[in-house]
This record gives sequence, C-alpha cells and structure tokens, in this order.
Amino acid sequence: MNASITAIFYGLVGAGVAVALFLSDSTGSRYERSFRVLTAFLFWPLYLPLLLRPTGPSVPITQPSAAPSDELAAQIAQVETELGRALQSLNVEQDSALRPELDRISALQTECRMQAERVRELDRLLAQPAFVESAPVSSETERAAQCEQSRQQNLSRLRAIRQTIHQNLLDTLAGIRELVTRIHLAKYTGNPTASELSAQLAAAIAGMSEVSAVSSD
Amino acid sequence: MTSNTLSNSERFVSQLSQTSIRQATLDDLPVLEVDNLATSTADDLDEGSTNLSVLGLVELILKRRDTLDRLIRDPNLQPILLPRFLAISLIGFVFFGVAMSLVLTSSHVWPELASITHKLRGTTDSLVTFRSAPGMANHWRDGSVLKLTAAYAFGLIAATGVCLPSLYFYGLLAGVRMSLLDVAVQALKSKATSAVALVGILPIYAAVGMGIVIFEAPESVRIGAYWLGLILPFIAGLWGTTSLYHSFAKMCDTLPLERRWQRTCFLRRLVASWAACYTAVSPVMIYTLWERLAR
Repeated sequence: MNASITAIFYGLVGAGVAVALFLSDSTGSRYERSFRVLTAFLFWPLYLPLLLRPTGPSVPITQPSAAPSDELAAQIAQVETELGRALQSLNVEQDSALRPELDRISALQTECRMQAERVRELDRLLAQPAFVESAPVSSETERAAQCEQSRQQNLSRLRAIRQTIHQNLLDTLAGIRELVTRIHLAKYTGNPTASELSAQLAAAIAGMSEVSAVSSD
Repeated sequence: MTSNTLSNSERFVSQLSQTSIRQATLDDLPVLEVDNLATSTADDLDEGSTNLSVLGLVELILKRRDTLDRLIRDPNLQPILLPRFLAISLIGFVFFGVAMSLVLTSSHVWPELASITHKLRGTTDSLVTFRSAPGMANHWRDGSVLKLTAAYAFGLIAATGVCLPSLYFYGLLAGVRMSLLDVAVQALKSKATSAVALVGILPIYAAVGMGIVIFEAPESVRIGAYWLGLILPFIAGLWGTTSLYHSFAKMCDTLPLERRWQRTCFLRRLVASWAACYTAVSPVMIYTLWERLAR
C-alpha cells in the first residue's frame, strides 16, 4: 500500500468522522463548528474518542477512589495524605534505597484499614439491640442467672477488645503522623542520606507494626 | 544531626508501645484539602474567573496549571476543551513554521530533503542539506513555506494521534481509571503546552537567526542555528512532556489507596516511556510528510 492509497483511506475515515461530528454536536458558534469539522477531517484519531463517548448522564470515571465514609476512615485517609506528601517531598520513589520501606509503609496502611474494619464490625455487633448494655435481667433460676452474668462478662470483654483495637489504631496513626514530621524535620534540618532515612523509616515502621500486631492478637 | 534523629527514632519506637494520649492528638487534625481538590469539578470552580476561550486556556496553561488539570477531568468540559487545545497547538506550530521560514529566507538558504530510502541505500550523505537559495520571496511564492509549516503542524499533532492508543493502554496497565477521551484531552493539553512554550522561545530563536545573518556568522554556526530551529519544537516539547507527566501523576488519585504508591511510580515511568516513543515517531512523521510534500 503506497502513500496515496493510505492518504485516501485516511481521508475517507476523516470525512466520516467529520460528518458524524457535524451531525452529533451542534454546540458552539458557526466558526467553532466549522473548525471542529475541518480538524476532525484532518485529525480524526483525536476526535474519535469524542464521538464514541457515552451519551448518557456523564459521570466522571476519573474521580478519585472511594472517599472515607466515617470518622475513622477520614482520619486514616488524612494521615495517609500527610505521609504521601512527606514521601513525595523526599522523592522516595526515585530512591532505590528507600523503595523497600515504601512496601512496608503500604503494608502498614493496609493493616490500619483492616483494624478500622474490625472496629466497625465490632461496633455493628455491639449496636445490636440484644447486645446493648442494660441492667441484668433478674432470672428465676440460679443457672439462668449464671448464664446472664457470663453473657454480660462476654459483652464487656467484646467492648474492651473493641476499645483496645481502636486505641492501638489511634496509636499507630499518631505514630505515622510523628514519622511525617520527622521526615520533614530531617529534610529541612540537614541533608540525610538515603540509608539514614531508610533506617529511620524502618525503625518507625517496625514500632508501628508491633503496635498493630498487638491489636491483631 | 544523624545520631540525634536516630536516637529520636529509637525513643519513638519505644513510645509507640505505650497506650496513651493519642486520641486528643488525632481530634485536632487539621483538615486537608488534597482529596477535595481532586474531587472538585468545574462546577466547584469560580466560573466567572475561569475563562475557557482559547486565550483563557493559554492563560491557564501559563499561570494556573493545577486549575487546568482539574478542569480537563470534567467530562462535560472535555468536548469543549479538545478542539480548543487543538487550535492552540495549530496556532503555535503555524507561528513556528512562519518564523522558521523567515529565518531561512533571510539567510538565503532552504533545506533540501533526501528520501529516507536513498539514505538507507547509501546514495546520499545527509537527509537534510541546506542549499543556498537566492531571492527572498521565491519560497513564499512556490509554496515551500506552506509545506514546511504544514509538515510541522500536521506531523506533530498527527504523531499524537498515532501514539494515543499506547498512552491509553499504558494508563490501563497502571490501573488508572480513565477513558480514551480523557487520554486524548490530556495529550492535547500537553501539545498545547508545548505550542505555547514554542511561541515563547520563538522570539529568542528569531533574534539568534537575525544575529547570524547580520553578523555573517561562520558556516558551521549557521548550519548549527538552522538545525536548532528544526529541532526547536522538540525542545519546547519538553514542557509538554512535563505537563503530561504531572497530569498523569495526579490521575493516580483514582487508584485504590492500598496500591497507589507502587502504581504511581509505575505510571510515571510509563508516561516517560510514552514521551520517548512520541519523540521517536514525530520526527519521522514530520520528515516523511515534508519530503512527500516537497517532491
């Protein structure tokens, strides 16, 4: 296929796209429409996505991923944003020495979200009418009274577990925030090498992982 | 300083195991607006101050790149912005063609192109030879100027069209949620940025061009200046590439949080690879068109 035949085919497709665009899009002034049609003929590969876009109510598919839906998720997202900014300021992605720490930070973030999910699960569980704290029901038999007492103890333990996980999660988040400030501090008070920063990140992450592990047990 | 921070680090780790105080710290968190910025669309912006005409877009390219990056993600604005970015690019490249022709004609030279086939067969030494061409207006009358301008304007934009599917594919590979229209608008915004930068550089190049004519610079300097002119759109293209690189990095907020770190890095590398691919395709496209038109 020589250049002339290629040009003919290119022009034919271009004419098709230009006509389709002229018929489908009547917005703008006469000059704008003329410009669109002319350039669609010449540069039709650029206009093809415009022509093939869905015509229904437009929903931006490039919107950011699921926004935090509760206070805990909002706190996690906020801490992650702070950490992201700090790491970006260090150009950590370009630094091969710091790259392993990125994976650990990523794992820690996943751990935080898992802990938050456990807290939510326990909240949902404890919010059930049967589990809401109330005055012990007076039982007719001794066996029933023992069961009721044991039930109340289990509920108390569940609440304590929820409180521990929640507190540990908050500790981890506070630790990450402290780490963020240390990254900024290291950047502005000196010129730390990658290995020094890596050591700091590793030490901090290890500590936070420890806290997370305690709450998972 | 290092030992100090490391000891702080150890203290920090030891403090982490203590369960205390932290609730109050988190309650006082300042509200960040990063995600809010990413989610805001054209409706959230002050439409009165955001002029989306061709000149308004040029101003946004020069002064408010973050606002522009947000605007081009609005699907309602994309059909309006796409032809306008194209118009900015075409105007910029036409300016370049005219300025380049002025420099060449005032130097009384015009580039003569050899066929790529002849070069590959070894029957010619150089693809581009600058021949002396007396008469200032000849090349304007015989259409040579038009051919040079058309080859650059069409070639630079058509190369974007050729490389567009690969940019879309790279985006998908990195996991970014974007449509082909998003990619087309991003690519054209980058092209418009290059064109604006090119128009900014042109006066400097024109001054250099006039300087070599007025001061009768040696032949080697003249040839160097002509070559510099021919590659000027690629030098200006670095601004466009940077713009595309940053825009795509911002698109990473469509990724799930747990994968954002790794994917952002990957996507940035892919965009840089695409820019390299485009830089290889566009000169071939321009040269082929110019050589065909000049026959």
